[in-house]
Amino acid sequence: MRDELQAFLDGELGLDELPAELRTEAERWERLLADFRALGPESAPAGLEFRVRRSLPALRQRSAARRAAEWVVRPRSIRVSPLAGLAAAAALAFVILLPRGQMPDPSGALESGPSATATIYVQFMLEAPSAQSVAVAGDFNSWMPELVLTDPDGDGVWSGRVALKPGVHQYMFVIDESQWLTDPGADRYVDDGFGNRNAVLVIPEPATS
Amino acid sequence: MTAGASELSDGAVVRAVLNGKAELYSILVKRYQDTLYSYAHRMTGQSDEATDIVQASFVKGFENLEHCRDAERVGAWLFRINVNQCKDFLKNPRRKDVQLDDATRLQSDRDDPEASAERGQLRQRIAWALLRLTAEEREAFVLKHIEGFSYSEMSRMLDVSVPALKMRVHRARDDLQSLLEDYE
Repeated sequence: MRDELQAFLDGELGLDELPAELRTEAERWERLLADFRALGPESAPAGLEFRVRRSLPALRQRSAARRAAEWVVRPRSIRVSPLAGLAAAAALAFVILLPRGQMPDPSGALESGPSATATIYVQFMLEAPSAQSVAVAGDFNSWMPELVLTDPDGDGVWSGRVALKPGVHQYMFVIDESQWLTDPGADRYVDDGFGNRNAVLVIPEPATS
Repeated sequence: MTAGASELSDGAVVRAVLNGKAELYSILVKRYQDTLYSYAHRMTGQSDEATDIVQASFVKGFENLEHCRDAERVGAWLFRINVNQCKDFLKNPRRKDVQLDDATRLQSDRDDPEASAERGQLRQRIAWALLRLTAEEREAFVLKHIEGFSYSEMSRMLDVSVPALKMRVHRARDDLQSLLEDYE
């Protein structure tokens, strides 16, 4: 093949820069390359994703780690007031919806989530005495564990508030920045598509007066 | 998959996986399996081998994810792993000679259902010709003309100089011109 045609196919020469006798050949090559690009297949065979998942041992180890985390924070009574009544139900973790008007000090809310007018403050709480840190990740923060709960009195009960818009939200707790834990105290769950469950939080629209 | 999770950027998925939510790696598999598979199939001509290569690429990617320097470009990083997996496969002296399998033939027909039988045969010919190139020439040709990489991008990906890659592509074109002399 002549050097000028190679240069054209390398994008170094334009068609109009080629000698006239090479232009027909250049156009033929363009059609040929288009046919090469159209060669299939374009889609991976069904089941490839499943095969990848099945061949990832770390995913299986991850499941074991999650089971261990669930054991560490197994249900026990929560020693916080005024929620002792709920604690008697042996709830491990739960979410409390706090209408905005009932929040005496909204400045204490976690700095995340929407700030639009129709917001509800949500109190997340988890008893995890062995944890060094607890955070909440959900679809409201792109699943980044940025909502860090606090345990100021060191009793192992971690809590924090966040302002969320009404709607259906999914979330998980993240313990020690690595272990993801489904909230066992949630009212509803949804399969996350990866063999685990996300907790579902439904925040109703505030009543209008 | 949750709607929220599926909307995560590549960087957010990588960070979440590295932070322990390993299940989210499936998002990357879903996003890039077609791209990786198409390349592997063009390089091997075989569906089964291409599937094995892509599976191995994703496993290697998962195991080395912390070494991905630019999480937002994890797709390019996985593609590079896939290219190297194909290279290793084609270097293996025990592998069978590559040849066109049924999937390629069927896909050729599916691309244009109304195409004539003659047209389908022509497309099979170019698939056959691609597999007649040496592995190095085919790799360079596919990356340049099918995947659309520049020579400098290919050089970084393969750790081969731009002049050497140009030479491989030029040789590939020369060989294809001979193999497809009467292709129209």
